[in-house]
Amino acid sequence: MRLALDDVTRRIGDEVHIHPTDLALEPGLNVLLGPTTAGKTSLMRLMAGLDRPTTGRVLEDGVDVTGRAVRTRSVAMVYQQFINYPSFTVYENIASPLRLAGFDADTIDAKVRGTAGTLRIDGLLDRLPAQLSGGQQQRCAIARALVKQADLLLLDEPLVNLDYKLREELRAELRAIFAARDAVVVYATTEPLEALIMGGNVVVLDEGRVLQSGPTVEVYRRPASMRVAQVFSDPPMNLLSGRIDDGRVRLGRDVGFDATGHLAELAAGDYTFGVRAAHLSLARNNGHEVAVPAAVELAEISGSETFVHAEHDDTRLVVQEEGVHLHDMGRTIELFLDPARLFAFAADTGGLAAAPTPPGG
Amino acid sequence: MNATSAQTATTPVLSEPAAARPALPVPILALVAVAALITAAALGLAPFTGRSVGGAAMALVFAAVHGAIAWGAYRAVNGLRLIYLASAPLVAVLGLLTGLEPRLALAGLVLWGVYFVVLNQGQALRWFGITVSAVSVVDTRPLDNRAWLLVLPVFAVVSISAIIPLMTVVNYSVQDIFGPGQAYFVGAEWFREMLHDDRLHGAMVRQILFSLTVLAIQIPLGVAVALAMPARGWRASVALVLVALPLLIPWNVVGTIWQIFGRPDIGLGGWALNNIGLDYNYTGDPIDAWITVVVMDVWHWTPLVVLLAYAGLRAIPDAFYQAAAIDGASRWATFRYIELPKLAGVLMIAVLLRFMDSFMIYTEPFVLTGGGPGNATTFLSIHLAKLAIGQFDLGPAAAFSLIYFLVILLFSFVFYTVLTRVGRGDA
Repeated sequence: MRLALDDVTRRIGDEVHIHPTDLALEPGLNVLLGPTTAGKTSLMRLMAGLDRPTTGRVLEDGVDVTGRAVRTRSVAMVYQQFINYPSFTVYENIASPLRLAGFDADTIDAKVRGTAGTLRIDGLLDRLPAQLSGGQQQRCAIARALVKQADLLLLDEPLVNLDYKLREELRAELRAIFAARDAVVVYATTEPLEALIMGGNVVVLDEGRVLQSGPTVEVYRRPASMRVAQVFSDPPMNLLSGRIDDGRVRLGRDVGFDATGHLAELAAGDYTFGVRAAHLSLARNNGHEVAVPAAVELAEISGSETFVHAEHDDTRLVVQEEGVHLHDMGRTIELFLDPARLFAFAADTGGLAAAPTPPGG
Repeated sequence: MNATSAQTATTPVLSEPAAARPALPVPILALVAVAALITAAALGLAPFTGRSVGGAAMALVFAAVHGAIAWGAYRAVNGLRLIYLASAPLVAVLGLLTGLEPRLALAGLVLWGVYFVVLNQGQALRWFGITVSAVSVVDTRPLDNRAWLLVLPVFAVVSISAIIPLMTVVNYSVQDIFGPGQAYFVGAEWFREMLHDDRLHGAMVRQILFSLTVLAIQIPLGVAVALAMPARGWRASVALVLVALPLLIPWNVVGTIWQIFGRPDIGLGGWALNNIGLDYNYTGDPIDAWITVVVMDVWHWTPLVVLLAYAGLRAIPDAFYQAAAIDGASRWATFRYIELPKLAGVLMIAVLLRFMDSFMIYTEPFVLTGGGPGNATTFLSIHLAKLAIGQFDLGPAAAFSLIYFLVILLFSFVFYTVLTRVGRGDA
C-alpha cells in the first residue's frame, strides 16, 4: 500500500496543528523526526484516520479514505504509553484484534503464538499486563499491533518510556521486524540518533510543517535548511554567523580562514555557518583546522562522552569530546574547527548553501 | 543480617548474636508503649468505675512501667523487655490486693501479653514455634529513630479523640451503672443480652438491606452519570459544581429538605405524587418511608461516587480510547474492557466509603422519619441512640456500640479483601 497526504491541514479552533502538508509514504520504514509539539502525533492521527483533516485528503493507493472510520481501515498503532487491555492476559490482548476481525480459533492461536515468539514474550502469555515489566508491556502492545498484519503501522515514540538498555535491544529487534514486512511503517521519534539507527526514510517535522523528507542518510548529510540541521542533530548544530569576502571566510570578529573545498564555490555575502558538536574538537587533528577561542561554561558528562559548552563571541558552542573529562568553568580554551566539516546556510532564508562532502563519498 | 548500622548510636544491653534478632523497632515500641499507657489510664480512671482504688493503683503502676518501657525503647535498651514481662504478674497481684475486680485484672494481664507480642514484633511468638514472616519485622537500622517522636503530638490528639473514648466504652460495656460511684461488674452480660435482642436483630436486617440497596443504586448510577458528563471545557466545570451541590448541604438540612418535599399537604414531591393518583405518605406507610429514605440517600451521596468515577475516567490516557477505536471495539467493549478495569481502584474506594457511611447513617433518617413509622426505618445508629440517650441504658448501649464497631470493621475488611483481589488486574 502507498499512503499519501494531499494538502492536508488540521486546525482545532484557532490553533493550527498541521500546516498544509503533502506527503507520500512508500512501504518500508518512514521515521517522523521532530521535537515535541512538532506535530508528529497529530500527523499520525490523521494518517490513521483517528482525526479528520480540516482540509485536504488522505489517499491509500490513490483511493480517497478521508473520513472513513478507523475500524474499517487496515491500521495498527503503538503508543508512548504501554496500552494493553488491563483485565486481559497477554494472550487475550494479542488475540483481541483478531477476535474482532472474526478469525477462527486455530488461526488466532497460531498467529498469537507466532507474534509472541517474534517479540519473545511467548513465555508470558498467561500473565496480566500489570504483572509485566515496562519492557514486556510494550512488547505486548507491539505484538497487538503486529498481529493484525495491518497495511499501515504507526509507532508513536514507542521506546521513549523504556530504559536505555531495553530501548537499544528493542530497537534492533524492531528494525528486523519492520524489514520483514510489506507495510507502510511510520515511526515517530524526537531523537536524531534513533532516526539514524532506524534508517529508511525520514520526514523532518517542526511546528506543524514538514521541513524535508527523503532517505535518512541523505537528509542528515544535506539538511535543506538551518532548522532541519538543528532538529536532526543532537546536541543541536552549532551556528555561527559570518561572511565570505574575497575568498576568505570570516566567523565573528576575529576568526578567518581561506574558503577552500565546498566553501570555495560560494558567492561573497553573509552566511550562517553550522558545525556538529562531534566535528569540533579540543585538540588539533590536522593542519587545516582553525582555532576558535572560547570560555568554558559547562561540561556535561553523558555516558562515555563529555559535552563541553563554551562561549565564543556571545555564541554558545557545544563540543562533543570522547571520554570523561573535567573542565574548569570560565577557563578560555581553543576549539578546533575543520573547514571541510562546515555547513553554510544563507543568512536571510536559512536555506542550505553548501554542505560538506562526506569523507570517502 | 547486613550490619550497616553505622548510624545507630546505641548498643543493646542484653547482647545477643546480631543474626538471631532483628533490629529493635524503637519508634514502634515507643508508640505502642504510649498507647498502652493511655489505655491503662482510661481503664483505671474513667468515670463511673465504682470503687476505683484498685483500678487507680493498677493504672499508676501501668503508667510507671510503660513510661519506663517508652524510655527504654527510646534508648533501645533490650533488657527492659524482660523487666516488662516480669512486672506483669507483680502488677496483677498489686491490683488484686487493692481490691481490683479479678476479671479486670485478668483482662489487664491478657492485654499485657498482647502488647508484649506486639512489642517484640513477633519475636515472642517464635518461642511457641510460630514463625512470623520477615515482612512484619520493622527494620530501622540506618535511620535516626528520634524523628518518630515527632509523631507524638498527632498521637496525643488521636488518643483524646479516639482511643480514650473507645476505652471508656469498653469500660461501660462490662459494668452495670446506676450513677456516679455505683457501678457493678457484669462481665459479658450486656453482650449476651444484646446479641439476643430482637430489636437489634431487626435493626441489623434493615441496616444491611438499606446499605445493599443504596450501594446497588449509587455505584452504577454514579458511574453512568460520570460517563455522561462532559470531559472538558466550561461545561465540565458547570456539571461538576451542579453534581457536587448535594454534598455541600449539611446532613440535617438534607433530612429537612426531604421531610418538607415529601409532605402530601405542602411538599412539592408528596403533593405531586398524590395528585397523580398515588397514595403516598411517608409518615404512615413503611414502604413509602423506605422509598423516601433511599431516594434521599441516593440524591445526597451518588455525587460522591460520580466525582470519584469522574476523576478515575479522566485519568485514563487518551491512547487507550484510540487503541480501542483502531481495534474496532464497540462503546460497550470500551467500557467493559478499558474503563471498568481502570476504574476498579476508585470504585473500590467508593464502595467502601458508601458502605461504611450508609451503615452508620443517622442524621438524615432521624430528621426525616425519626425511625418510623413504627420501627420501619430504625437503623442501627438510631436504635443505639434510643438505647443510650432515650433509655439511658449505658451498659447495653456500650456493648451494642462495640458489636456495631466490630461489624463495620469486619464488613469493611471483607469488602476490601474481596475488592482488592478483583482489582488486581488493574494496571
